[in-house]
Amino acid sequence: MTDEELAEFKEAMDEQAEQLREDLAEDLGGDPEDYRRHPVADGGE
Amino acid sequence: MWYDYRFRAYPDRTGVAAEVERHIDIHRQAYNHTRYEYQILDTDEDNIGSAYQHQKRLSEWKTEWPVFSEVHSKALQKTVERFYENLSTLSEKKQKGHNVGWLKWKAPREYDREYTTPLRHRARRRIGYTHDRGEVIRFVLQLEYRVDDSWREVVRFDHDPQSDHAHDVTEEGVHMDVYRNGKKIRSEEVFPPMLAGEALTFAEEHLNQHAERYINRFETWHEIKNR
Repeated sequence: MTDEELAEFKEAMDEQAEQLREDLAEDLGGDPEDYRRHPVADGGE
Repeated sequence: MWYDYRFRAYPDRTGVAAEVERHIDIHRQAYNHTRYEYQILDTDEDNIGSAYQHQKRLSEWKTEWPVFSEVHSKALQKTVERFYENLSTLSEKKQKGHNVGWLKWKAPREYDREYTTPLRHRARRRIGYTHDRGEVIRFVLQLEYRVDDSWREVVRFDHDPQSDHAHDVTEEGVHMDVYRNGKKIRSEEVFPPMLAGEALTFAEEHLNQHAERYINRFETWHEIKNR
């Protein structure tokens, strides 16, 4: 996959994450920003 | 002695989980259709009322709804049998004085919320979750790559305490399953145990940050050259 495609994918995921946070706030309560995370663990290698 | 066909399947090991889910859903529809016909058709005129008789209608089903041809005939017959077994059990309970209702329509097992991020039909990220009383009760978050006209798992996070094939993030921690050549090759704990709603958002953020690395690794493993 090219760098351009990956950047496009990242942008689409960011947009999807915004929608996810809004829906979680609606379904579970709270504010969309309550569902923004900043993971520090780094698995997957 | 009653013998039944039964063997253990490992859909997550063989990478055919999506196909298994599709077959399960077709059988769900077949069960519901058996139930529907039992309610509306005349037992004598339409010659139903037993599994054996009802199975004779399967050819007609396949003509009218081709989806029923996509699963094995023997398996479809067993689904019709299952309805009549449940009916028999219900009848026995009623005879023993239990206050029984009617066999329930089986709802599709989907998620309350589903999202798909496609990338030119080559990669996609899928997210789904179901919630109840202010809590996420199950979810899936999966990165997929299209190879030879089929979607292959790259990495997957899930939570479903009622499933034998999914994790329970509240007990086990948040795991990421890693796939190669259509098979799950390992499962790594990425975050410690936490509530499912938190796990979903941590997993989403993790995948957002590392999708490029996982895609590159997948392409290397499968010798996909696109650059």
